[in-house]
Amino acid sequence: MKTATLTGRGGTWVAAKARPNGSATSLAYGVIEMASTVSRQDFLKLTGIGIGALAFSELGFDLAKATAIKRELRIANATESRSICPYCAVGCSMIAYTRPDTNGQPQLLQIEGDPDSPVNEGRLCPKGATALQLASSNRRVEHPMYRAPGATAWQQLTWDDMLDKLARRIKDSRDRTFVAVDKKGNLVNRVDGIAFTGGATFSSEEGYFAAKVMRGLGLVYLEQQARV
Amino acid sequence: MTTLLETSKWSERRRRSAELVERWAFAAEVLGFYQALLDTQEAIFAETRERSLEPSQVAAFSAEFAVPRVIETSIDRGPERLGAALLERFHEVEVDEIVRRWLGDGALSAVERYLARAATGPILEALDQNAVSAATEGPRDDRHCPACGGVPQLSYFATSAEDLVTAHRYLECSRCATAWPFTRMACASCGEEETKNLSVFSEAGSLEAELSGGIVKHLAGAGKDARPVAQFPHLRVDGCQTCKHYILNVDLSRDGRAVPVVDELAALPLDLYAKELGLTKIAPNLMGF
Repeated sequence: MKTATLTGRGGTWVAAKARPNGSATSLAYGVIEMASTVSRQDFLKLTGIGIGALAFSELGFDLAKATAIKRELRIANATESRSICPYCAVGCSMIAYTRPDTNGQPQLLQIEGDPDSPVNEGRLCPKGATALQLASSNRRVEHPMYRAPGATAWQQLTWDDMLDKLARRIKDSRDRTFVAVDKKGNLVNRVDGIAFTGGATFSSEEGYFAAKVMRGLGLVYLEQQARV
Repeated sequence: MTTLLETSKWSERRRRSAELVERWAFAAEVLGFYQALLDTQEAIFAETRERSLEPSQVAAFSAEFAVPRVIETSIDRGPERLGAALLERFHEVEVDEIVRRWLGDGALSAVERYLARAATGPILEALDQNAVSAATEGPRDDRHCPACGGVPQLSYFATSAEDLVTAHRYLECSRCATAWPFTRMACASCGEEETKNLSVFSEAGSLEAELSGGIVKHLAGAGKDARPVAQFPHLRVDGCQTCKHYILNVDLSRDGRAVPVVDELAALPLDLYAKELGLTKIAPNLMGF
């Protein structure tokens, strides 16, 4: 039988309780005996409260099983970063989660809408919601691929080969479609056979550079989805 | 009068406790005791509703009505150390003083905090916000409860009606269980917003690409059969390197059956993990973790 006396505003309340299974409560008895001779701080020390190394919590819960599970956990420090959707001109905010891979390199593992953004309030369109795949899908093409006119198969090229090929095509198209003087006799020096479109991920500097290069070639059909 | 919605709050907590006892053997002791305590707390909640308490009467009502019942349940069903400490402690102390300190953010030992919280929490939950506000002390800012000024116990991501919408983050009060919206990427303790100082410790297998498997190139263990299975896919430790505090976060979009306050209570291995990292929880939960 254990007893406790409580003093509150309403008077004194006495609890008398035996454990339902009648198990030993020697700790409780010991405590009651000690209470008259030791201070509260000593009592807390004696009962192991606050001693983290023991397998019991402050209130006396057994932590052995939880400790065993903790040892098995494979936890890694993921980092959240704010980003902006690369696709359209709305500029939705995103939260990107990265976690180091086995080599310690950050690996992008999750992208979702940022609920704190006044632009999209956590919402993403179906395309934006799959932005993770733009960065790291296992279907992403990582090399320049070339399919010759009339061919049915793609072949892999090096970046150097691809850049040479693009430069050659641009030069050929420009030479073929260059208009120095229009039908009315005005001097125009323009290229009618090439158009240029800049993507939404262009920075201001890239956009400026692209416009200068394309105007330098004589292009007049320039379009840009600039915003970021 | 207790409404259906309020009744379901307690039955939801009971339901989730029963689910997690089945799933997580390591939490059986804590949740078994919590289940017993929930009955006591619901009775305290219902009794509070029956009376029309003035804010100034909260401490006295808790000491006279709620505390004895909580002690009884704790001795009956709680760990022996807790029962022993409760028996020892309350020969000498004015119980309503402990409750008053808890309502006023005063310093308390672990056992005192447990007792005051277990007994007075359901009373605050039963009162309307104005009464809670008048009965409590504490700062009212975005990192403290708008109702009582208490510090957050946990953080959770709500569910949204649409798959393509990420819902807001909420903090839930350690004192009166009020929830309020909070910035997704900020420390709930010190307000740090620099993400390089905010660490998210989540289990391998809990992020989108790992859960779906096979989308991300070179993802270790990815693929339908090989993907790592997380034990806590909806839980994570949000740590702050600036103030060295952490808070557990429950993602309801990952597990719609979760009840944040119960899941937080049961997530002992994550608490032990955070402690190993040298982090301290913003507020220890009801069971002292």
